[in-house]
Amino acid sequence: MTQDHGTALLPEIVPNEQEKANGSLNPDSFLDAVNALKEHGCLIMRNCFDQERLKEIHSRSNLMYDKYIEQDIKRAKERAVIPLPLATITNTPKIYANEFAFPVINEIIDHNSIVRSFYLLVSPAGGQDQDIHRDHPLLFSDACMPDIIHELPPFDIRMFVPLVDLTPENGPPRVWPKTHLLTEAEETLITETSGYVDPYMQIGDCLLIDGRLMHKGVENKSNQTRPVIYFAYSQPWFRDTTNFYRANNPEMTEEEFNKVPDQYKSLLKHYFGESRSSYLI
Amino acid sequence: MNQVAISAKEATPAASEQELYMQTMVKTFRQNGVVLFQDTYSTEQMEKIKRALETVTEGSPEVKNSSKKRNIINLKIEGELNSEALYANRSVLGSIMAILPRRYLMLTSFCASILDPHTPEERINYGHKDLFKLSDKKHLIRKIPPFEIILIAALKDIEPGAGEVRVWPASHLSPSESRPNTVDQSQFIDVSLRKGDCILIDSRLAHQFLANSSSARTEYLMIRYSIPWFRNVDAGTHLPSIQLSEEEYEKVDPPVRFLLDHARGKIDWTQQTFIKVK
Repeated sequence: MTQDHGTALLPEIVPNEQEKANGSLNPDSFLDAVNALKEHGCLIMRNCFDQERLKEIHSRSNLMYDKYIEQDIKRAKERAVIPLPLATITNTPKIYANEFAFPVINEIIDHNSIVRSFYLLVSPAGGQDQDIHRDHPLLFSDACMPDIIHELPPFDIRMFVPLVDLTPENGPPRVWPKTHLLTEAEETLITETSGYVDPYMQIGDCLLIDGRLMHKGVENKSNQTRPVIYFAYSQPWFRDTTNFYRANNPEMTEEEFNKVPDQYKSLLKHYFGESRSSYLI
Repeated sequence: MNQVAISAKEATPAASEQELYMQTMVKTFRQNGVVLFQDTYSTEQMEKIKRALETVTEGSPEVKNSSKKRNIINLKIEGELNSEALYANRSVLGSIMAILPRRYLMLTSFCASILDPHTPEERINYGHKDLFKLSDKKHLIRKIPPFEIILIAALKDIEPGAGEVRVWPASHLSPSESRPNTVDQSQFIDVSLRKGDCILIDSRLAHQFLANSSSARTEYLMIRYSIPWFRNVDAGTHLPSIQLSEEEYEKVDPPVRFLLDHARGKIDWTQQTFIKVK
């Protein structure tokens, strides 16, 4: 269920029993998902992740979060952005290359996507509203290419996987559908009252957004933290120079990389392969 | 090359002409993917690099003993080579900033390219493929602005047959997937740079170093500039990273430090104004 404001629409994909049994979307659903994400810049995919595994990750991430807070108690009042290692329980295609979500992402990014970042995002109890923002500015300014900004393909997709249910009380990420294709000038016209959607989610769901989409974190009115795991997938040539600039590479040891099935090594080859030196600039 | 040549004198026009000049230069570059700047570097500046190269190659058995191949030497930005006149040359930096459309940039490699006597011509190079495949939107490829520029400067007069640079103007506007087939082999220009001249090329442009049939070594300075969100993963390990110590960083003129902040981990990416053109 989502809370729509105005005329905004957030498309959803819910794998049916046959698709769950097959471990993949059928061709029609897959195409619907790809087209919806391209058009709206956002897409909810329901019941795609194994809930038990997410609960285990939640349990372990709580320990990480507690350590993070222990280092500086002031952090308890702020949103936390903590790099997560791709190791043990998270080092599985079920997480970084989810059988329902990842094929959609990879199709959109020219079958050339990499895992650029992997984070734990925690909004503390009482956490405040964020301002509306794009996670990254447009690649080129309006002045350089005014006639094609609306047509530029996606190159950066972000995936939010909640570790608790996202409700009106603890606040989901609020999204403004279709704003990923706005120019810089048009972007300034979007306000808090423009058509938005609050995508309420349950453990096992995920939200995909185009990195250019306008969105914000909503106030957490509950008395519990709101942890979400967050992936950034992108073209290998793209480096995030704003929100997640501190970790344009996932944390992973070579030993863990060697456990990655061959068909998914390309997702991380930028970090362990020949391109490493230039990638790390 | 006349249609893409700009001399250093033209590169410093009166203030009232500055805007028109930049517009013309940017348009020329975007159409051709290459532009020539004459008399950009002084003889003294070129000699500095040659001296530094001699020092580097004397200590590098790999280069000293090599022959018949092109070597790329990563130059440390230190001593005489830590000079604004080399990596932030005022004759061309303004133009590079005007071409790269985000109005901020970083210097991502600082190298010398050496062609020993009798080095054969190299294969046609493309510094980077297209950002997007765009198989269903080919019209967009011609409109994607530049995101990385390669500066190639001659350390001596390059005579015909001594390893000129061959470029295929406008080849950056054809899809990279089919470029070997679509580049018209007859539509090239061989650029015989004079000492102190340089060319700027769009990283997507088809280019190659021709054979050095002479009996003397030919050397070029090569510098890459790019928009911060871009990283050249196609070049892989062939693209050496910047070598700059903290001590040398402190010697860099503050107005142009933004070019090198990333090499010392000094960028606060959240403060995007840090590299805006003054």
